[in-house]
Amino acid sequence: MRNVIIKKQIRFVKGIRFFCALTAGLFLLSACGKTATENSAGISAPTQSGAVESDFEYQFVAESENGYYFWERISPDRLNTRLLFMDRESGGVVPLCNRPDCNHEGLECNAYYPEINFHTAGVDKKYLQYYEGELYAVGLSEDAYVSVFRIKADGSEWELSTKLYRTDYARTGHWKPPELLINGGYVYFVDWYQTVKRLERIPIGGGTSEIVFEGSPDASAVDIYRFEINAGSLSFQVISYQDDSPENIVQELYCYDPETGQCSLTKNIGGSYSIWNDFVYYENSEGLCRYSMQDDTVEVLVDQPMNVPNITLTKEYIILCDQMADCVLNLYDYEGKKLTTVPNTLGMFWYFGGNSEILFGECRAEIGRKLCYLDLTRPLDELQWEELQAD
Amino acid sequence: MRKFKKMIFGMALAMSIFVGSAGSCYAAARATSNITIDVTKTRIVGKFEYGEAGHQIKVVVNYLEQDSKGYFRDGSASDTQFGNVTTAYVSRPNTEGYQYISGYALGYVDGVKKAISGEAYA
Repeated sequence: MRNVIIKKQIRFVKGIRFFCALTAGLFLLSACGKTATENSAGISAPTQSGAVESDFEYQFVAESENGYYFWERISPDRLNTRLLFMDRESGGVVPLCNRPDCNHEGLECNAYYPEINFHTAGVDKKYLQYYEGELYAVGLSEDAYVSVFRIKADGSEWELSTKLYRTDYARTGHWKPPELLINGGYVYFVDWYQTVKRLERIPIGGGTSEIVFEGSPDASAVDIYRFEINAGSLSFQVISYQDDSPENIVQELYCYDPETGQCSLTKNIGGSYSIWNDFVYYENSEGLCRYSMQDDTVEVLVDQPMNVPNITLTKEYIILCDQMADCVLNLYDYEGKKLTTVPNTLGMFWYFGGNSEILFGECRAEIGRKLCYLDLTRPLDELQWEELQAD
Repeated sequence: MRKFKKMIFGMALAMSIFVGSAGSCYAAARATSNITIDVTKTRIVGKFEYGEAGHQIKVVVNYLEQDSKGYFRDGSASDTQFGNVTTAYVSRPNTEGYQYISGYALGYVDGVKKAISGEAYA
């Protein structure tokens, strides 16, 4: 008996030592972080190890380790759309269904999800986010709550994950998807039925909602959108309308630190932006600008007024879609030098963002819009938009 | 003879029931429908007409809107009708601060998509 007790104690001590070693290893790894090196021009550019990861302005493509998930777009030949998966290695696109002998055409296919409707759970086929091994979509529960739904990564099952807020969809028939992003175990959301909006968060799986940021009650309307996660903090844009005059608009970029629970004003900017390495890249009437959060200084990278719906940062490029020039895509380096222009051959309408390998967007179609992508691994002079559809 | 008459009567009854139900199915399949969409910067209107009463009909307009800062948003509005009503109609003004860019309409009969309009731009 005594020998058994001693052996258990020895195993316990070994376990403690292993845990300490593991914890020390994790601390060392997390201390690496993103680093940047100064190039000859003195401008910080992403290095291989500290490269910008994915930068999606609109959460319509969910990136996983193995590929990308997105909702199929409606067309005259396909009224009932499916959840699709694009393999990162092969580039093949398939419906997300692992049922044997399924031809993926009928409503019984696992890739098909019910739509927003009365008295039945349905999914809005735009938003998707991959988080900790599972997919998340937004929709309406059968009792008319805007809700987050969890979908297994192989598409085999789905269920209601988190209820957010009640709607009167049954009376109005009006569906307004929330602004939404999942991070750090919480669902951050904005109810777009509100006039003076507020940013709230609820633990994944449900719980008590807490207000993260509230628009000024003196404003006639407040919009909160353009979410972006950087180093665990959530950046978001606030547009406050003081009255009907377009001059009386206050535009601000805020940052919420979940560690401290505090929101702080980053800068008074409106329009699209992207953040990397303590720099905020944004556009205004001067052109493409870079704001240093550490030095509180602004540098104009591209001295040309633009009307840009979003800015995507990749390892090599700053990517802009200039709506003033028929949505032609411009690629710049981090010194502001224009590298190439990608012509709008597919009638590209807007784009969601991407990473160093691929950019996703929507092009005009006969009905609705069709998905398209840009393979960024190609040489600059061979970049072209291509339509994205199931094989 | 009596049994024969009963048999004939039964067959005639069965055939009339079959033809009647087949006929009504045929009529339903042939019901006409019409769907329209109209989009301006400040209003989106969708209309779905179905040529046969006694169904749940629904029109859904899916739209894209954009604010002055270039931010895009999707949304939808719908109208559902029952019984003797054969037209579903939805009209929605723009969200404050936003303008409609484009939209299209879908028509449903008894929960099944039956018609789709073309994309309309403001």
